[in-house]
Amino acid sequence: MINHFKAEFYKLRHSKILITILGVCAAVIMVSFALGDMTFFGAGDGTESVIGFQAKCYLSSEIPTFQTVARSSLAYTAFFWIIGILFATIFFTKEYNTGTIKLSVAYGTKRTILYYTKAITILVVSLITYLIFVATFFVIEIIQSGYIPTASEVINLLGWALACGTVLLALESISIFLCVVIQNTGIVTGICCLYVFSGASVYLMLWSDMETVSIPLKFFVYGNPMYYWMNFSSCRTMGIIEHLPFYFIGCISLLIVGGLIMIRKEIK
Amino acid sequence: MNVTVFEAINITKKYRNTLALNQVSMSVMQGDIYGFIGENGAGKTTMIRLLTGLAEPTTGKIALFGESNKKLAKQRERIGCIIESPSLYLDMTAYENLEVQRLQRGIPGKGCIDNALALVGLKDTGKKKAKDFSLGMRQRLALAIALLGNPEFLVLDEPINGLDPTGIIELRNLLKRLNKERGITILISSHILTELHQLANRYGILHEGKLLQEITATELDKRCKKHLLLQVNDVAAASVLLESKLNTSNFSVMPDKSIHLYDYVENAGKVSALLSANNITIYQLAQSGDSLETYYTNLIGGCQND
Repeated sequence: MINHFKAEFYKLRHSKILITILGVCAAVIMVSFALGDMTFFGAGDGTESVIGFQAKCYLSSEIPTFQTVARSSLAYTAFFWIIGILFATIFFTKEYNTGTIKLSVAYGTKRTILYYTKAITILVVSLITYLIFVATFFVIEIIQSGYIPTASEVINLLGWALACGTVLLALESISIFLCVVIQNTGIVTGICCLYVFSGASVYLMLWSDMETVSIPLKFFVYGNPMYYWMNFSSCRTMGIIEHLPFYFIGCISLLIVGGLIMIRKEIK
Repeated sequence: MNVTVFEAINITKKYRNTLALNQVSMSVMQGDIYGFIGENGAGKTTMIRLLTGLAEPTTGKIALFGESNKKLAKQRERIGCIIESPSLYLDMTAYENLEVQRLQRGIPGKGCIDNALALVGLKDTGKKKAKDFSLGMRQRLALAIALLGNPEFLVLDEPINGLDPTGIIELRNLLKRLNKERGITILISSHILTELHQLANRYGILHEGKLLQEITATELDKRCKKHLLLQVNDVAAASVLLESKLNTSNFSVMPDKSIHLYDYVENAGKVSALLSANNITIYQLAQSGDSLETYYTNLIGGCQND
């Protein structure tokens, strides 16, 4: 299995995928400089109940708070999820598109090993890149606002980032599962993007009445990355974080189902 | 001892309503260059896909180096293959493509990469990416990948596709050399029958999912050799006459009681006169002999004319 990990990282280093992903991340960071204040949030009675995307929105630029710095650092997470979907899908389906998966199977490699080494590589690289992505925004925010965070605040931010990272892993598990079933980069990316963006609009419509909505709609919202992003990125975890393990385990189960399909499915 | 490298026993492969392979049994022996012949859709690639584990047979059994079922995957480590089209990472160089495969298969030492590239004539491609290679170069790179790790059995599905005439000659010589010097057993499928004729020592002829015939090159040459085809009422008497009066033993009596006479091909009149003078009735006397193409076409029931 170690051989396969080595091969996967070699592929990453020597193909354009990783450079492209890093380039897109850099572009998002540059865009954040260009656009300045950005908000996209649901209606509420006050600042505390606002959910959504809030980058560089300081209540007072003279006295910045940790919450506003952290919120700005996490604001672009949803962009990274789209990057994550693209990365997972392209890196996974590439083996099918080039036919190289056929060689691996023909040389006696177990399909489960092929599948899980690729999936784990995608998940690990995505999580690390995401944490670097958030850290970069955090550093930029600190420099721009002049706010000096304490160690406990940094740990707090790391906690929120890891929570968002868990959502990223769950989302990528779904896209890897779809890759095994559909094997088409365009269709898988399309489905995943639709799932993410529809989550944003549905949640914004329902968020103030979540207790009264029907169970399927609740499932859709709690099983959607946007639900977590809009809350975590607003530094709200109470009443939200408890849904995350179910979402994560559900998506990891899909990843395992993908492995079982991979064993049985004919490779074309 | 003649060892079976690959054996298919009563293999049937069904895709929904299509029967891709129908009760096919075949075997490739150690040291063979086995030419797999068949038209498009005959089932050649399907058989290769079953051999390499990309698909499972509906019924029947596959064995590699005498092992089957759960031990089959382990035996696949001993093969090298090109399946359908060259499987390459197009945004990588030739060297990088081989390095990925080397890492994945746990082959120690990077020296094998240079050796494989030199063997197929791709040592000087430098930083050129595989996407900028011609189809012929891609085929060669795929062959280099197949040769990585010194396989005992090479499975090549249409490896001649895209090669120019020089490339075809080079590939033919390379495969012959690998077979002779390293003792690598080769299964090669191709539409280009003249090319297979110069390479293979055994043939399997597949048509509409059925294996019509397995034949050695010697036997095929015998069947294809230009000869006089004789059908007479008394085969034994005719044979004695050919030996005693025409001083030739260069003929074969076939299972259908016809005689294939390899001498006097251009002098059929003399043979006819001799047999008639000795009261042997001639039912048929004709020049015969096929190329591999004609033999194959006749075997599968001829070409369709417009």
